[in-house]
Amino acid sequence: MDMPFTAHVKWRSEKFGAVVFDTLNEKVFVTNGIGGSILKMLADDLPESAISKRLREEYADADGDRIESEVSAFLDELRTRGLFASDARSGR
Amino acid sequence: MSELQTATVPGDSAYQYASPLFIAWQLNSECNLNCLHCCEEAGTSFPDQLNKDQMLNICRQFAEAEIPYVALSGGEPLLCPHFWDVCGFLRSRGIDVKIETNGEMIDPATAVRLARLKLRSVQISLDGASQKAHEALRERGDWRKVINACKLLRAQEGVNTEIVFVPTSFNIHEVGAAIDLAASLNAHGFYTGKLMRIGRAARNWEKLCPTDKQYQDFFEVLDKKKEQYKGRMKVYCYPYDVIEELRYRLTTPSASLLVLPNGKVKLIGPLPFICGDLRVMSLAEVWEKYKQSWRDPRVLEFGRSVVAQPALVAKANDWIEL
Ligand SMILES: C[S@@+](CC[C@H](N)C(=O)[O-])C[C@H]1O[C@@H](n2cnc3c(N)ncnc32)[C@H](O)[C@@H]1O
Repeated sequence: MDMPFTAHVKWRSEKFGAVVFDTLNEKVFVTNGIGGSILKMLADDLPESAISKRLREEYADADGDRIESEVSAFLDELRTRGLFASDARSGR
Repeated sequence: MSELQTATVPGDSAYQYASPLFIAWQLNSECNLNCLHCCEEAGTSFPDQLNKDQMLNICRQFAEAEIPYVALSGGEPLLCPHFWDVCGFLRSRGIDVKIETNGEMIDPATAVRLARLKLRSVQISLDGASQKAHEALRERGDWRKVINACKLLRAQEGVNTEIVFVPTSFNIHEVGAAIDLAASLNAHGFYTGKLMRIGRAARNWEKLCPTDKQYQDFFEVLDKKKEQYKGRMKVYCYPYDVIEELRYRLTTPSASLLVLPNGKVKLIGPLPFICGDLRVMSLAEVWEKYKQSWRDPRVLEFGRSVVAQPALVAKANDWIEL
């Protein structure tokens, strides 16, 4: 379930989206429904390109480029907060 | 679109969560020590302590509710006969676990066993850089055993040892040396915060409470040491005292539960209120009751009185069932 994250990062879905808990640093982050979907896809080990593709399909009315840059910004944020186990995802 | 919004404080706003984010579980009240400052007044067992089946049933519910993080404390948790079963179960379900121990029971075999569990951390109480200060506060304690426990854990791969130091008039002047000692033991972090006026600490308050000047020097040392060990060891001082924390929680309850050795659930350390019983209620029921209880006029009124008259916090262990 927590594959891409460091050993002490846990997440779960919530009504509002999802909560991410970095237990080692005792920091809690919350995100909305789309953030929650991205987390779920990360846990399923989907690469960034596949995540964007899925979201484009789901939100057919939205601007595709915007979706891509949002996904990328979200992943960057997780990375900057030190939540990813390694930079393995940076190339994908 | 998907911006990750940060919650400003861990566990902010219990009301938004489907289940707790954190459980502080006092597995037992039995302890081999008799600390003058013990907020739990630990010593002998509760007559109605949870049995193994009850504990594992609670663990199962934690797993089903996707609780991310559980801290196991006591009493002395390593004296709890079901400690390893509970720990093993929680870890097998991917729940992060911290144990809070006085360290005295950690021998080479225990250190190996703890390391295998890949815990979030092992928190060890070290209340002095000197044997004298530590043992004056921790009656029946053995400082050398604690140091040895830290060394045994250091020898294991991947164990995060966290040192906790509680300042009192007995040991507050040793904080700098205690931080250096923790670093020499390769501790992952050094944690401290003001003495809470609860339990035996309340009874021994005159003897234990540091002066304002002592606290001022203490905070100065902490600031210096924080800088000195930056990037090597986390030096952390909990910024709120028990009353400030309570004042904040009266409007923003944390997304956590405090489970007592008999399965009863306390609202928060400094208040006497019990909001549920995991022997007879499900975790989901207790969680709902917890959230409602923070809006109960009895809780709000008593909570505000404690904030106005901090000495009332001494009643924290005289439980009141809601
Ligand atoms: C109650 S003890 C139980 C675990 C274990 N027996 C031990 O000695 O660490 C848990 C933690 O609470 C801290 N503690 C106890 N009384 C306290 C007080 N009055 N104020 C602040 N911290 C306290 C202890 O130092 C310890 O780190």
